[in-house]
Amino acid sequence: MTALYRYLVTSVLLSQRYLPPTLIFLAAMAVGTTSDNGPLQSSYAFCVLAMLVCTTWLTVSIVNHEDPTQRQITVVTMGSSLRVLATTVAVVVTWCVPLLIIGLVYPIVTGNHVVTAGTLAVGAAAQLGAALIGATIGLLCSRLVIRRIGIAMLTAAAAILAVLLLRWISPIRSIMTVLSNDKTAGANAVPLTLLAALSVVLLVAAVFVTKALADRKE
Amino acid sequence: MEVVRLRKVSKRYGRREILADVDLQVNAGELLALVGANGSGKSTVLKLMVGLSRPSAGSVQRNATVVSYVPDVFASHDRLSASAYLRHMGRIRGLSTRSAQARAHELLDRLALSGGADTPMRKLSKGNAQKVALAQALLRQPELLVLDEPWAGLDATAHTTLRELLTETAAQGAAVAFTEHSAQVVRSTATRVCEIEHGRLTAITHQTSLTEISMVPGANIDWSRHPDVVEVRPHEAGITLMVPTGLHDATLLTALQHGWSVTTVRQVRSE
Repeated sequence: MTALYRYLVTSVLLSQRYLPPTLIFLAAMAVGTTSDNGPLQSSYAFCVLAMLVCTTWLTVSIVNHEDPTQRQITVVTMGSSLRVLATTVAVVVTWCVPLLIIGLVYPIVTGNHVVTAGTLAVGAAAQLGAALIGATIGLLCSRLVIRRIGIAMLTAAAAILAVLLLRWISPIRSIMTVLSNDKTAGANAVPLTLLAALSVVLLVAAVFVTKALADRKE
Repeated sequence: MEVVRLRKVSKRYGRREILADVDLQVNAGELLALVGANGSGKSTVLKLMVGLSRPSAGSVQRNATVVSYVPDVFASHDRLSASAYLRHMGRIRGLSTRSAQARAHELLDRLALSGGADTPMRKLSKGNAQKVALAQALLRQPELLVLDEPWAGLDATAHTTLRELLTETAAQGAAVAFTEHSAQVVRSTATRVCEIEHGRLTAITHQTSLTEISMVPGANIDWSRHPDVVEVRPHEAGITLMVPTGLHDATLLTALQHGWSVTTVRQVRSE
């Protein structure tokens, strides 16, 4: 698994496909949080939105970057499509870490906020939850499930709208609601950690669903 | 020893039946050729063998831990060089970085990858990409080697090298299965030939073993008209003939009587 991880990280790094979603995330940070003087948690609510969109795009880019025939070779070499998919998701999560750090630090550096360890923890949990839901949508809209890129893009856009508007289909709406309330970071930490944990469960479920759907197409 | 076995395998994509009741096994040391028209289901059989596809009915049993696969078209838009890609694949196969690199260079040298091993994969021509695909499959001695039209796009020199590599791999105990449209290639490489027609296995034929004779020319002989000669391969140093083992004595006698100088005689495919 380590060798496969190294191969995929190197291949993704050289492909530069991570650049557009990363740059869009940076641009969103600059537009949405620069010179913000409000509560830091509200700035983080905006970061959650940007993180969701950018990690969806990032996931589709990373999963789709290997050509289908090249992926077949990788799957046969590893002996399991699940292991290849799980390692690919590990690469996606790795790429989300720099975005998470930017999303945590940028509003503090460019705005005027009261920073506490509790607020940072809340921001980290909220953005991690958003990143994992973005990865879940990206995985289900990747070439492994939807072969036509146009349909995949429309489906991803619809899924992002759905998770933002509908409360019960994902933790995103709940994360945004918690970040926008007037409670202290300490009071918000527990529900946000639970929502981030729920996002992990949803991502794991998406891995199995994607594997089942991709295998069925072969 | 049976390395892979398909029992009563059927495959459907929606309502379309691709394969029906296919019973097939490939044994260690065997070179199995699957022949048939385009769309007859050959590639599907290969994908079932390596586990890329699952049967709609029936079962596939594999007794191999090291399985290698070469797809019909190897397209890569990777910026990784051929050598780096093979190094990574070798490491995934459990080789150390050094041995993966050494084996990759050895295989690429043998297959004569033009442009060199440091060429990015996305800049490789179809034939050169195919050579990289072949090299990745042979980084570690496979127990099951499956190739989908591996000769497609390869130059004449690589044709011979590929035949040698497949024969060597089978001789080391691997089960080798491939698809191919050229009757001559099938005749000179496979030990068993299976024909697939509209998703059904219609014929299985066992082939006799072959002997390869390399010679330096003497008097003019048109070997392609010689009844025992299966294949004639001219090269810079002379020519190489493929003759069914048992009939090679007569061919050698003819050659020597006409002043030809025999340089090597070896059995390339055993029964």
